[in-house]
This record gives sequence, C-alpha cells and structure tokens, in this order.
Amino acid sequence: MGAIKSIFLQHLRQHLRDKYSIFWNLIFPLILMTILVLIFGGQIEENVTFRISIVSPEIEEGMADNSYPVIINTVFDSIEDSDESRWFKFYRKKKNQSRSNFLQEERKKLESGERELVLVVPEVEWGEKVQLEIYRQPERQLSLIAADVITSIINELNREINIAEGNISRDELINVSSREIAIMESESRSNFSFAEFLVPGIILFSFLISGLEIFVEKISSMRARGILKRYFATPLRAVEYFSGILGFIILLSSTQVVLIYGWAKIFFDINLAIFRPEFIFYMLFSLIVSIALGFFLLSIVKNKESVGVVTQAVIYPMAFLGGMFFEVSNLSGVISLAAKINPMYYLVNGMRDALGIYPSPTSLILNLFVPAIWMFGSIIISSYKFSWNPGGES
Amino acid sequence: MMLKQYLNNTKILTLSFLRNKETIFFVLLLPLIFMLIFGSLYSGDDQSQPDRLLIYYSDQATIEQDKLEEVINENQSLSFQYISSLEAGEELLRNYEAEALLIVGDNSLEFAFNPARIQDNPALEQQAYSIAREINLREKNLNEYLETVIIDTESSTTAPAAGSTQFLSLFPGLIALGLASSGLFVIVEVFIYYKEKGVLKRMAAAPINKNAFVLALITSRMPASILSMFLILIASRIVFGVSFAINWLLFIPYIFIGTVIMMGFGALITLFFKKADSAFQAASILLTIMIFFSGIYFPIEFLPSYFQSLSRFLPLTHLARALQQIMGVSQLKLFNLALETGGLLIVSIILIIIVAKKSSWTAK
Repeated sequence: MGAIKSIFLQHLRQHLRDKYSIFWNLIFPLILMTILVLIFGGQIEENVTFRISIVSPEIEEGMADNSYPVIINTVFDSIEDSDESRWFKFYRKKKNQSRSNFLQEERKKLESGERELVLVVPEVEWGEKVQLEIYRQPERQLSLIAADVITSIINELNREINIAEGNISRDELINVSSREIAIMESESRSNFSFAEFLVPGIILFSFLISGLEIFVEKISSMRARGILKRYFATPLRAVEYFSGILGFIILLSSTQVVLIYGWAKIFFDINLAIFRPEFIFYMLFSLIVSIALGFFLLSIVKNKESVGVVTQAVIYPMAFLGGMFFEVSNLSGVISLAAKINPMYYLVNGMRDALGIYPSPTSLILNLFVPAIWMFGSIIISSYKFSWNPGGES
Repeated sequence: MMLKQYLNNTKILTLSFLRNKETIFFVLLLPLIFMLIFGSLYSGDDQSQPDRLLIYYSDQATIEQDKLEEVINENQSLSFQYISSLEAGEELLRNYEAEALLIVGDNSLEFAFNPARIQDNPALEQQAYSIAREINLREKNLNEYLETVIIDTESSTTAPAAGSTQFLSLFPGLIALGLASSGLFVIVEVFIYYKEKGVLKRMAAAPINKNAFVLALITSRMPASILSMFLILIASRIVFGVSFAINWLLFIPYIFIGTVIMMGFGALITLFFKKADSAFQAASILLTIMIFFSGIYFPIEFLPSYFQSLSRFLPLTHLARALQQIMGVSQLKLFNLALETGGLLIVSIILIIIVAKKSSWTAK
C-alpha cells in the first residue's frame, strides 16, 4: 500500500509542478467547451447585429402611402421601433446624397465587411411587379443569414400586399410555422440546451486524454528512460506501480469532472444530475476503456517518439468522429464507418441518455457492447504484447 | 563560400527536420486528419446528399398532395417519405434518420426540426420556408408583387465544386495550419533548444557564417510547407472532389511568406521564454488558441466581439484569410492583401533578426 501511495504522490506532485500539464488537462477542456457553446449554442445571439443598407427612391411629401418605397420604409421603420430592433441597424441615404452614389458607397462597405447586406428598392408604380435586389457577401455567414432574414420579411410583405389588394383574405392563407421537437419527454427537459449536450462530450474527451495521452505518455517516457526497469529491480511490483498511476488518473479525472460541471453550471446555467448511478457507471466504464486503449497503444508502439505521434493521431479522430462535440450522423462512406466503430460514439450516446439530455440513437446493448469489445480486445492484445521494458532499452 | 555553407546547412537542416516523426505528424498528417474530419462534417452542407424530409398528412389536411410533391421535387436537395404517425416522425428525427418533419394540416404547414442538428438547421429552415412560400403562391394563386434577386458581391471564386463557404474555407485554413506548424517552432528549436543542448556553442567553434545558417534555417522549413500544401490540395480533390481557382503566381510565394511570418511569431515567443520546454509549450498553446480563433474550423462571426478582436491579432487568421483569397474561395483584394502580408512579413523578418542577433551562440 505504501508503494502505491508513493507512486500516486510522485505523479501528483509532478503534475502539480508542471503548469503546462495543468493547462492542457484542466483548463483546455473548459476553453474548448466555452468556444463551442459560444459558437453553436446560441449564447451570443444578443451580440449579433445585422447592418443593412436600404437604397430606396427619395420619399417625397405627398407620395402615395401605398407606393412600394413608402411601404417598405414603413416596415423597416416599424422594425426599428419594435423589440426586434436590437438585431438590425438600418442605413439610409442622406437627404442631399444621390441614390447611385449611396449604392456605390454601401456596396463598398459590404465588400469591406462594414455591412451585412444592401437592399435596393426600385422606383415603380403600385400594382407592377418589383424586383428588389439583395446584395450579399457569400463568404460571410452573417451576410448569408441577413439575406435569408430580409427575404423572409419580403415574403411576409408579399402576403400582406395580396391581402391589401383583396386577392385573398388572411384566413385563406396557408399558415406556416416551425418548431423544434421535444428531445426528452420529461417537462423539465423539454428545452434543448447545447451546453448540456456538450458537457458529457467534454467529460469523455478529458477521459480520453487521461487514458490515451497522460497515461501513455507517463509510462512510455519512464519506459524509454529505463526508469521502469530499475523500479522493477526493487521490491516494487508492476501491479503496485500500475495501481499508483491509476489512482492518480482517477483523481485527475474526478477533478476534471468537477471543473467541467462547475464551469458549465456557473457560466451556462446547466442543470444536470451528474451523480446518477448510470452516469457514474458510464464515466468509470469510459475511463477503463480509455486506459485499456492506452495499454493497447503502448503494446503495439514501443518507441517513445512514435507513441506520442500515434496517440495524437488516434485522439483527434476518436473525439471528433465520436460525436463528443456535435452529432455525426450526416457522415458518409469510410468516415461514417470510422464513426460507427468508434467506442466513444457509443459511450457519449450512453452518457447523454443516462443524464436525460438526449435519448441514445443507439441501443443500450450496443452502447455497452462496442466499447466492451474494444476494452477486452485491448486487454487481450496487451496481455500478450505489452512490456514494461520493450526491446531491453536501458 | 557562403553559398556553399548555405546549401549544405539547408540540406542538413531539412533532412533533420523531415526525419522527426512529430514534425511529420504535425505538419503533414494532422492537417490531413482534420481535413477528413471537418471536411466530412461540413460537406453535409454541400447538397451532395439530399436532406430527408418526412411528411405527415393529418386527417384535416387541405393541401393537395400532388402540388406539395411537385414543389418538393423541384428542390433537388430534398428527398421525402410519408410517415403514418407524428410520433414515428419525431422518433426518426430524434434518431437522426431524417432532417426535418413537415406536418400538413388544415390550411397549414408546420415544420419540425431536431435542435441537436446545430450545423444543419439554419439551412433546413430556409428550405422549409421557400417550400411554404412556393405552395402559398401556387395553391392560392397569389401575386408575387415583390420579387427578390440575390446578388453576390464580385468574387474571384470559380471553384467548380459545390459547397458552403465554411466547407470551402476549410482547405485554405488547413494549408495555413500546415505553414503555422512548419514555421512556428523553428526559431524556438534553434535559438533556445539548440542553445540549451550546446549545439550552437559547438557550431560557433566551427568556421560557419551565422547569416548563412539563419537563412538555411528559414529555407529548411519550406519543403515541409510545400509538401503539406500539395497533400491538402491532392487529398481535397480525391476525397471531396474540390478544386480551387488558385492564383499560382501569388500562391507559391505566399507559401514561403506565410512560413516566414509564422517563424516571426515563433521569434516573438522566443523573446519571452528562456527555457526550451516552456517556449515549446507556449508555442503549442498559442497554436491551439489560434486554431480555434482564426476561423479555420468554426465561423468566428458568431463569437462575441472581444473574441473577434482577438482573432485580428493572430497571424493564423491573416494567413488563412489570405490563402482563401489566393485560392479563389473569397474575393481577392490585392491591395489589402499586399499591405497586410507586407506588414506582417517586415515585422517577422525584424523579429527573426533581433532574435538571431540577440542570441549568443557561445553562452549556454
């Protein structure tokens, strides 16, 4: 027991002394989660403002209220006065400015990224068909969205004009609506939260790093330097060494879980019961699978330098194709196959299901069976091939 | 004499660089791995596979099935199937076996989406609304008083492959990542690691011209940058069928310039760190931060403004943006490109010279 404690404390002290390890293992998952939630989680919608130029003919006094420029300007004025105004900033030409000059200037601003869209309203008589030009910048996502939003507003206007013209009554129009499906049946979980969806993925990512990077790096480094060989010349047994390092990995992983959960709770207002027995089971299972995979890598790649490269080459596809950060069902071909045989895909499905965040698209049997195959396969291969001192390096 | 020294040093440094497995992985293989992962994820937007729409006709449905099918069939990016119950449709959506569900009711169309399809939903929603608009026009014989014409700003892109901007932007971004991996660590390696190991001290004892050595060092990273660039271009063509309208006259020089710019950034790191391990770690952390905030994998436009401001200070953002222009993914703004690149290059060369002059070869 004393030997296990010594090995455990040795790794813990080493880790605490190394500020870069602390960054990669404890802080980086939080940064990754924050970036992904900010980009995909709709947490920053309030920061988005579409800057739109409206190039319309001069509205003169006495102009008929039902002329297109007046109607369109009225609609945009009403948007500016409504709660939706925070989404838009409209730019119109100055009184003494010519229309063509204004258009030219605004198109330049669109190209330089100062506008998301330029809407050109031509001068035509009421009742005639009008072609509104929407200038957008296809390489900018915000510009594409702004074009979609303005198109929707114009479609709505079309319907209103048809009603005003007596072509159709409001009741006759086809009512169009959209909604998001409820993901879980429980009322408390009726609203989907991307941050909650992400938390199990980030936890699993941390475990994968613990098993495939930290564990593998520590053993391969000590193995290559012949330290393990010298250790095992003392009364220290391999099992004690392994238990000590495993204890350290478990402590590190527990710290990661607490940090990830705490961060998401404070900043993204998540509500997850992470102490559910099923979730705790999946976390332990994931950690064991990751460590088994680590042993497998150490068995087949003996050279320290190669081990580092191979672990990196394994971690990224496993994480991104495992659906840890976003769902991967739209993949096709070989990449889809790589996702389907990836144990992380089943583990993260199981974890989300256990927390009541998202019902697993794969069956419970597969969620246990596929990672278990990887785990036992790794253990069997490792039991034949793994060596604490490969090639007699000293 | 100096030329001979330069050539010999270039050869030795290049071979030693290419022999390093980690280097090969980070410069050549990692961008390829990311290309396969993110290319596959984003290619879902390129309409190579039709999105699956489920249609549920309720008992009160008033819209003619033929008209609905006609409109959907005109939209080639959609395939559809009828389902017998709403619950079955929602279950299929939840299991990612369909992209959207259309419920046809009494003079109504309701579209349902899966909120977990973060990447796909905005485009799906637009498709849904264009279907609804078209049905309204045909079914109710509405007049389209206001017609909209979308005009994209002039772009040099002539890439024949279909694809969303995010998908196409990925490839120049990955080439930029290859340049960054190739250039960022070199100054740290030579002026801190070599110094720590006493290599520079031994070289100082030899009759070697320092300028020839520094030039050789810069040149030695170019084969890896070029190899990385070709691998991405070939793999993107083979795997995703993407080809770019590359301005080769700008592209080839930019591969060199981009690598030197990243070396300059590495030189900046060297000025703040004394130990090789700390400098390598700091470079790795900065590279990771740059990857996320330079818009290579994810659009940065949705990040809060302070993160967007941060991205403007990252050289990888400028490298990726410049390569997007040169490869025809976005509009080529030659003057801005020249100004930006020229500025970054001058600063980088000054930083490399400062580090080369400041570093003592003899002190350990």
